[in-house]
Amino acid sequence: MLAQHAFGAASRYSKPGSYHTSHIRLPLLGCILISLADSVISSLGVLTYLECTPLLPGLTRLGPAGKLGKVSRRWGVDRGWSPASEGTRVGRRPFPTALTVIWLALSACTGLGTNPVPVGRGALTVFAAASLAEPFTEIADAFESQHPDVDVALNFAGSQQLVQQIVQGASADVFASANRAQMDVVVQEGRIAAAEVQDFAHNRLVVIIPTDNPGHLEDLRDLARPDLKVVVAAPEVPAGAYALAFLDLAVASADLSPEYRVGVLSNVVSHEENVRAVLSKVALAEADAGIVYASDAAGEPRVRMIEIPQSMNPEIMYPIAVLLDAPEAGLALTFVEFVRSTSGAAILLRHGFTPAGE
Amino acid sequence: MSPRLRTDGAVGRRWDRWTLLGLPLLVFLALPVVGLLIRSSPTALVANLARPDVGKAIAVSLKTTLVSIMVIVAFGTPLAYMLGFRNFKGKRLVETLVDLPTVLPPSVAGVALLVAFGRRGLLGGALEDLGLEIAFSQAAVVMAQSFVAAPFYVRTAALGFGAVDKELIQAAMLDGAGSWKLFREVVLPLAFPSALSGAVMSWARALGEFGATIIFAGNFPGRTQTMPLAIYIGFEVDLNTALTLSVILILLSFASLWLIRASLGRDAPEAQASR
Repeated sequence: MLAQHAFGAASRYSKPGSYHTSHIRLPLLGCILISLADSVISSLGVLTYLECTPLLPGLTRLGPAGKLGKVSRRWGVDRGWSPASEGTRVGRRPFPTALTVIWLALSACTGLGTNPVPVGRGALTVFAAASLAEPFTEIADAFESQHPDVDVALNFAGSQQLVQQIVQGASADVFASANRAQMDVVVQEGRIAAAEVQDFAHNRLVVIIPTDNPGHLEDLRDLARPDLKVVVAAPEVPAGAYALAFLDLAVASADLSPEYRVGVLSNVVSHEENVRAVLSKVALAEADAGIVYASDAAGEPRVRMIEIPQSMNPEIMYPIAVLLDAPEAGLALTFVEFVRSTSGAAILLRHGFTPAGE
Repeated sequence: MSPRLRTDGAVGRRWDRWTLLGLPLLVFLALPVVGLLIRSSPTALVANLARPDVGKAIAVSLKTTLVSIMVIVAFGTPLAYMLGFRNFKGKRLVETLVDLPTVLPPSVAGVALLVAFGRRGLLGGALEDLGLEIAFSQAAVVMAQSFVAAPFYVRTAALGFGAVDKELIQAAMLDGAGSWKLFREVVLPLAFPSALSGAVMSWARALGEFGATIIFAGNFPGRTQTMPLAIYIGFEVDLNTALTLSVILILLSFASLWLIRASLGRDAPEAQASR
């Protein structure tokens, strides 16, 4: 049952037309190394730390939400087609054998590309921001059970990465972004009609601290206390830009002094390259505090939240839209409607988001 | 079909089937590099070089990789010497351990370093008592680089040491050379090409280190943001920064690898192949 689910998840991420199929065409050595690494990881027992792995860009791009758990499940499946033993057969007749190896390697790769999807089945490709990984995986499952003839392929990455992929010509049906700015880039590139864009959820920023609170933070004010280690997302990443916006709003408010912003920024020891990495660093207590989305903090038992008042919280809207050249435009629209339906809203709410219209 | 003997001992014609079969991989390896060079114009390169964030990343990279390679050579040479000469129980285990970082995905290396040296890691408490906090510091960058790059040096140097003629060593010992003198005046000069090429490979690997660094050391411009980190962050917003740093990284790596090959002639590859 579990294995079946794993296979289902695996095939979902290796569909034709789905952008990151191309990333799967790694050399065979990669498969062997990763499967080897896989076993090393499990034997080292560092599985609890695996939230850290989305930091590796390759894995992030390969996998949903950068969770190595899922990635390794995928590799577990891929190992099935890896003709790992081919190397030992090179011998008496090098020329045809070498050709065979090349042919096998090629067919192994293309075999994945032309993954058999039964004729008549719809395959929907959804590009969604990394912070949406958990709710969207659940939403996709719910959508698939409502539409048994549809397969939803999910591609999770930082919104800015997804935009790059779409702009470079990746084929997708639906794009769900973590902010308006990234969505606007796609609109300007002419891949989405401005009228199609609608907000489906919002999120808020929170300060997180490890549950044992090594920095002894009690409230928001403490974040500016000297000698703390604070991690934030890089300013290039939406979560990092929002963190800066929060500091601006905080300074403008009457509650916190103008030095607050400077104090917090001088505590920053790292600009993480995505918001999940901020969460990991705080969950591992490497940092005393971090600034993340409430939706990220909601699923992590090793951190505690310090709320940021609404007056200082920047408005964080998640827009969604069907692409103009969506291969499955009709289906895509149904999916967007489903996300905005009450069942979609319930799932979003459970993962710390506030569905739009509430 | 009759192969003719060439002066360098290789058998075959210039465009034999091996060349043809080898060509696809060669093109595959070369094309991305060529693409990067084509996409970046020299003027943009110079303009980007003047930017403070680019300069900082280069400075951090050069500083940390130089420290890393010094650490690796200082601690790796005795280990390589031991592996090259001694036979002992569990040698294979030690060799495998040394090789392990080369097959680990770097992000796993970063996690492993956190588990060992992070604040909540195995040694974290002890280090904190000593007043040492490694995470998010340049020391963490050096450790991440050393962890992933050291095997390249240790392996190559050990092969070089092991390839030294045993009779020479015995002769030197008969002449009364002590262990240190033996190392300095017999083994090291003979194994120097291997050690040097190992050190350069190792340095180049440290220069390109990304995954372990961003996990273990974080990313802070001017402190822990090395060139690969700046390239990755830059890729998300500003392709120009990413391109500039990529080209610099490629040129540096290519130049160092090329230099080492040229200066060592044909010695190094043979030493490497003689395992």
